[in-house]
Amino acid sequence: MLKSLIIVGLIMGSIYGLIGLGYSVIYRASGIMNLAQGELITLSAFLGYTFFGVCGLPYGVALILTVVIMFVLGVMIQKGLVSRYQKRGVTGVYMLLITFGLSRVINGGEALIFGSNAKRFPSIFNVSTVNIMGAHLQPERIMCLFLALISMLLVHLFMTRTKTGIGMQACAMHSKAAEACGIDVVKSNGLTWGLASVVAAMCGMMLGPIYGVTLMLGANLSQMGFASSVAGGMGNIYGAMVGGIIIGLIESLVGGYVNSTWKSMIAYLILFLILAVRPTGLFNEQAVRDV
Amino acid sequence: MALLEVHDLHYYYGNIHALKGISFHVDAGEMVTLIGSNGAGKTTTLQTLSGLTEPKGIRGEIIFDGKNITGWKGHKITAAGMAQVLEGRCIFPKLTVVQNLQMGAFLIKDKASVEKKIQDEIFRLFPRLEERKTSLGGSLSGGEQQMLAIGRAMLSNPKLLLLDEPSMGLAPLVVQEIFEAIKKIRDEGVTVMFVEQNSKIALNTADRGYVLQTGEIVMEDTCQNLLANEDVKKAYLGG
Amino acid sequence: MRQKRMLALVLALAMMFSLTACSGGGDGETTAAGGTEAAGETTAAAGGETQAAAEGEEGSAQEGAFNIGVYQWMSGNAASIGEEMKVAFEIAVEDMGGTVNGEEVNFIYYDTTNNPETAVTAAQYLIGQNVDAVIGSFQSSDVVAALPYLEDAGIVNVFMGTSGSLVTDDQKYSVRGAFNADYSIPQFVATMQELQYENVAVFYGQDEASIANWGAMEPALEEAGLNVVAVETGSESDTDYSAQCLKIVDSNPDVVYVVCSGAGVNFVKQLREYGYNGIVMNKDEWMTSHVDQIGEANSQYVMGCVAYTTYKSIEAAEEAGARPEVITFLEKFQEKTGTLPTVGITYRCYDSCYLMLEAAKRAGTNHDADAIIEAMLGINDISLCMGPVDFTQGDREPCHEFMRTIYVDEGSKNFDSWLTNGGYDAYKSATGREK
Repeated sequence: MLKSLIIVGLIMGSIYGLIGLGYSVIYRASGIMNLAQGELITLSAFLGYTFFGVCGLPYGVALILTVVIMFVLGVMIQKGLVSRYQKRGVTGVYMLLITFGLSRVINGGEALIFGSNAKRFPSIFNVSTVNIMGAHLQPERIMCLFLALISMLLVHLFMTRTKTGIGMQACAMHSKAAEACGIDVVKSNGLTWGLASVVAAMCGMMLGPIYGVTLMLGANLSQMGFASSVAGGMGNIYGAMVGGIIIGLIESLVGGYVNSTWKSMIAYLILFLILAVRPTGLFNEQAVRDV
Repeated sequence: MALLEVHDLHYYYGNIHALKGISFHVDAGEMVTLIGSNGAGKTTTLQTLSGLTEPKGIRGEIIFDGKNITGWKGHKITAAGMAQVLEGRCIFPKLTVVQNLQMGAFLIKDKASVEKKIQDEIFRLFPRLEERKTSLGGSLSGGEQQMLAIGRAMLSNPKLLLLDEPSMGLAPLVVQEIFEAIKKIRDEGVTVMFVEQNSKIALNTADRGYVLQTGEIVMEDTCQNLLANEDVKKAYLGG
Repeated sequence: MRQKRMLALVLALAMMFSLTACSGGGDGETTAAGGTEAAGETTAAAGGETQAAAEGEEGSAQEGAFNIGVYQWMSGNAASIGEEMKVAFEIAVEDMGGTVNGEEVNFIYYDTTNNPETAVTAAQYLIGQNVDAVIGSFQSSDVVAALPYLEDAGIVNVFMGTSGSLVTDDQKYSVRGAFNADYSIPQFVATMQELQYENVAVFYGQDEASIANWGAMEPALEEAGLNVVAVETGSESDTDYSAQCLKIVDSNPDVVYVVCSGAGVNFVKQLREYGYNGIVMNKDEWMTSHVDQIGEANSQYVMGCVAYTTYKSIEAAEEAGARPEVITFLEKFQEKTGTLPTVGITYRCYDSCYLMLEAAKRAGTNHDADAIIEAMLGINDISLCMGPVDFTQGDREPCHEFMRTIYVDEGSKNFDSWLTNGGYDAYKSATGREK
């Protein structure tokens, strides 16, 4: 059973890591803690359900459509909401409130359009369970692990090796200097939120088949995702992944050997410990901007 | 036709009238300085030139390289050939020296030429930067950061390089080093304009100078003449 | 640096508290849906969406009529339940001949909006209207709240909640018009013995009704000499049950018993995905809405022991061996609405209403609570959707024997006939299991 617990823990951890990635991307490139990230995941799952479940489009097509729509939405949120408030000098805790408000608005919209009943996200694969090294797992979970790892790698490479990605970070560190370098800061900021929304779209499309589509899908899981990115060092891309896997493994092992009621609590206790020893997270990430 | 012509430039921060109709020009190939005490409006002038201030506060005209760039966005002005070294250096602390420089070359498509320029020009101009090339920007000393900021601005191949108080916060020896480098840059053919609080070194380095006082240009002359001027000596050169 | 540390700790604490507040347990909206079936239908995914529709009354007492007050959640996610209830009442009245003791039957409705506090207001309102009788909510939490007021006011009432704890010895005017959810326990245990099971794994939810049910099941299993090899718990609002599923699968049980609000739908899905393909004994009826949510493959071999269940068509009902009373009711329902009921609660509505009318008829009066309740407690000779009604067993419950069902081949089938027709052997060869 230990083997199964570890595999499950890794999978859950990669999910948390990918969710945490969304938070880290926005934080690293804008200094904003985006509390609406979880809700963007839920929205993506609903969109995916609409294309894949209701319209019957193939999963790949549904995935691309969802990613594109979410990208556009992310850019619109940045241009239409975030930058407007930033121009007026809203920062820190107040911006937090704005992103939180946004999450409630999106949630309300979902309830209105889709109703409050849970929806079934059809299985992507024909089999319900596969046997991997003696452990029975839903094939969607395994796909999730791979997609999550690949996504994390791609985002990391993008943020640290491409000009646009480094430019995003530069904008967060010093937007005037970035503008002076010839970087279109406005476009870069929009791109940042678009990227984070794409990450959310990936999460939603993967979590939908595993957990079904409910109004609480993003909210429930994003707590752990957020904790993962904090544990790894908020803003650090690798950190989100490592933090996620640590939390996923702890949850799984505690749930397996102690008690499932305690697994969240113990995961958070470990989070406290990590922060107490290293307040800037495992990867020692100084804050972009103090909130 | 001058490389940069500014006609009757005003700037308003809300209701605060910071620049009250200044006019000046910079010819290709020369080095011009704008001196004045704290709060005179030097940084406002420079940032407005570079499109880094809110366009709605601008009145007047800025003509650069024959084009009217008044109200243009910052990154467009950099693309047009006018780069700035900001006040306080403003390097990217969590990026390495090389990454900082690469950001300066954001608009250049040809990666190979960027690498070449960094290696042949920037590192030759500032050997210290080469020594520290993999260090994070935030770990550099003040002088090294200034070099990095200048190198970064140079990487966009500007026709006109603006510098905002390059001597600020630096030790005298380092200031000398920096100004030597600025002179070399001008000798390579780049037009230079800088604002300075340290009037002595400013007037001893540049060709021509303007004196800015509470948002107005009160004097204009060659630096030689300004150095000899009694009023200038009393107000800015310590008697 | 210190400030950053403080902020991080505060944020983490805030998250932890909100997590524990959300995870079922206690009186959040997740458990306000009380009776497990209710949360099942509506799958009111934890929190938030229960829009309080116009809190209010519908109808008022009329002179010279048999005034029956009704308190129930009838809006938002339960709007369709409310509609089906009214149709069921209509059929019951028609079956009675249209009038009782020479009087028309007049219903007065009060929407409890999924809030037990509103149930209290409802009871008080109906008492104020001087109703002759009351039919109470399918949500056990509503009943718990409202019943004492009705008892105090001496109003005879039939309630539709199924939680085992609703019937208490001190009640005088109240009876259940539905089944007691815990009464399935002896039949489940008997089934386990019949199939020669030894090892049982259990998953129970953190809601009150499920905890109570497990509290009654545990000693029953022990008495029957069955081996409980794994006991796991969780909440309907949890998203991930990996740890629980792994442990249960690892314990290699002969059967898994599931009792959780919302039929533990998500748990059953993940249980299947983690490799358990044997029979799942589910305390709740496995409805088409559950199948819709997790698919046919995951719903296969879910066994229930219920008074009645829903069907996709009358043919399916006949094929599944439904009671003749149920078939008749379904035919009348279909005639009126063109469809069949979507929830089992609708049967409860018909039965409860019919019982109330029948008791009044036997008492010879619509306005004497004592006479009506006495007549009610003597009924043991009729059959309704729930099967043979027998109030004389001294437990104030009408229904003592349930129907065993098993969901197999895309439909709910009669368990007994499934066994006799070789279904169990087919199950063994399809799953490769020995038991």
